[in-house]
Amino acid sequence: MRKLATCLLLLCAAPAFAQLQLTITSGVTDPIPIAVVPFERAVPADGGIDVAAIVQRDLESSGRFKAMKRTDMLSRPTTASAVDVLAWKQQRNDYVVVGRLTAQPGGAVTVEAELVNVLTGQPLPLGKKWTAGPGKLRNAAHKVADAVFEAIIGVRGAFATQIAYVSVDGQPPKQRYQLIVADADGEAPQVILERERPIMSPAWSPDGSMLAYVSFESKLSAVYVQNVRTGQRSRVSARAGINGAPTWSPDGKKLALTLGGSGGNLDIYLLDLATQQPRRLTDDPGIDTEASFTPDGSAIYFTSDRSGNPQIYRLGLAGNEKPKRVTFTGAYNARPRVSPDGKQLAVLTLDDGAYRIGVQDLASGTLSVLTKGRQDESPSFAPNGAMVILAGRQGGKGVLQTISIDGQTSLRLNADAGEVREPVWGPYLP
Amino acid sequence: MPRQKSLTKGRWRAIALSLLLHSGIVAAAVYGWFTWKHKPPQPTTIAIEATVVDERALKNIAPPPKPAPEPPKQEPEPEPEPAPIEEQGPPKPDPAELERKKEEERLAQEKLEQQKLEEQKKVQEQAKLEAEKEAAAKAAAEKAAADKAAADKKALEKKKADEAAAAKKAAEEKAREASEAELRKSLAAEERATALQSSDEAARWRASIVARIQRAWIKPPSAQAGIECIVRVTQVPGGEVTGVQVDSCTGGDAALRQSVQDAVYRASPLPSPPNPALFDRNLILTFKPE
Repeated sequence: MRKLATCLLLLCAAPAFAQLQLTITSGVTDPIPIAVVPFERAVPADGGIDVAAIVQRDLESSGRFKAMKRTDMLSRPTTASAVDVLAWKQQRNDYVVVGRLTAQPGGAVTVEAELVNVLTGQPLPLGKKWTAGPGKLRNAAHKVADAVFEAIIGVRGAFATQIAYVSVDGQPPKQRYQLIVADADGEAPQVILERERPIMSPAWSPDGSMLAYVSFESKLSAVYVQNVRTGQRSRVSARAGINGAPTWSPDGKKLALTLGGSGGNLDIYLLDLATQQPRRLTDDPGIDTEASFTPDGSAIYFTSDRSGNPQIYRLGLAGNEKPKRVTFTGAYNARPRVSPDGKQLAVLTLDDGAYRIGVQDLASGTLSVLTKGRQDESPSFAPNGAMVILAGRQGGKGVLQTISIDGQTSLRLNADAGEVREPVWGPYLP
Repeated sequence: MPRQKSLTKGRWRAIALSLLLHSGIVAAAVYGWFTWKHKPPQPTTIAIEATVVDERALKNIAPPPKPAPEPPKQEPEPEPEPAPIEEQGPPKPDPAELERKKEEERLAQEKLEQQKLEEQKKVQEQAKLEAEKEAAAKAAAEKAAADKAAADKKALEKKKADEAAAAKKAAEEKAREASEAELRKSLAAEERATALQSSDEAARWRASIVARIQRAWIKPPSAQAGIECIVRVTQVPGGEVTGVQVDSCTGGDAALRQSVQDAVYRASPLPSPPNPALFDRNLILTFKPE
């Protein structure tokens, strides 16, 4: 009897719960509308740095956010509880970021930020405060952006990371080469090496503390490894012929590099940094160069012209494996870089008569072209895989540029010096 | 004396003739009786009796041929009739003829007796056959009776069981009907609603809600094919979303849950139905990217 009653109750009640069932099978990749309200300042400790502006620019550079103009803001709350949810929602915002800076003794500044979902009216915890020492407030701002990005997108932000690139000034024969490390947004550049002869192919160590690069400072090419903070460096390969294109193994103990030897046939070698002993990985009469490790270190991708044109090959490092060609779209694919998840390959590809940045899905082999430039070069993934940095060309010279992985949002970064070459995006920093 | 002698002689002759005649009549009668008695299919009568007779009784009854000789005793009754006829016609005085007739009479008598014996034998055989038949029929009847009794008993038991089952079923049916009647009431209302919901305008309305939410769903990277989120939505007339609850999200992360929740609020107000009767406060959305 009770069973029957329950059954009846359920039968009658069910329609009241669930009359209309609909299935949503697609969505959009539109940017999420967000308002980053100017933070409460700490004058003069903040040094005039606009933390909210940095956060806003970071978020927008990812292509995943569209920020409200400050001039459209009707109020400027600095705490979540002060956010008039309905008013912000009415102005077509989904999220609002508010925050405060507090000066600390010794010139440090504490940054507090809060995120409010005005669609639901719920605050989203960002988890913590950030304290920045003198001159580190920009970095703290990037960390706020990282936290906001992760809270909404579900992927760790990569704004508080660094990039490295080579800048070239002047005209031959009088030229100045600089190796520069900057914030991921191109700001706060630091010159870590300056030479009158070419500097090439910078590569980040997996922990972000070192850069390997090629320098012709002694007229012949040599590979150096340099500590980014201390400037301390060492030459790790100055063998006969070409020493080029270094890249770090994921464990940071080896470098894959290109050696020409006295015969001049370029092949890829694995150099143990502790023993300085190179081990040959490829052996082909064609050019093999520009190695890039998979995240697990089990294989490398590299450029080879063994088929006649530059194409990308994969070589497993487990045993006596043979290189397998992986790119088949277009007559020219070079400079491979494996994505952090190991699923994609960023390449320089000849597309419609122009050199552009393509991303190839390794599972399907499909290559999609991200950029629209004429002479783009040197793609490198952000550590979260959401963006790619590259050297584009503007006004006849190389410029720093980022592009979202869907190719929708491209941003030019500031670079003080002359022509930018070979930018590389560094890893997450501890 | 010769006259007397002749008279006496004539008298004997008349008696003999009369005897002969009567014997013939009797013989004819007996024969007629037998043929009459045995022609009709008697076994049917006997078969009917068989059901009540037992074996011992059957043995006592076994010599039914005995009554057979009796009929001649009864037969003499019509005797007076032919006699006058004989007496009227002058008998033929030829002694040879008489002798011959006597002989014939004797032969006829013998033949008659022979026939009688045969008949008796026949009757006995018939009776024996019938007795056997009766015994077989009786055995069959007894077996049939026993079978019938068993079948009857079984049928009775089955009937009882059937009745009990039927009663139980009827009770259940009644209970079910009672609950169904209540259900039907609510179902009838629901059916009307369902009919309405299956109309073209309802389909268009649903499609417009789906389209609006799909435009509003900004997919996070985790929204890959294979994930599935079930979201309960409440709206008020006018389409304003008043509640969104993410029931389950398989294969997704916090950002995915957030994104589907945001999508519904972002899509608010949802399109209103062309017919207000179509409106439903509660929606269940399944986010299932392809």
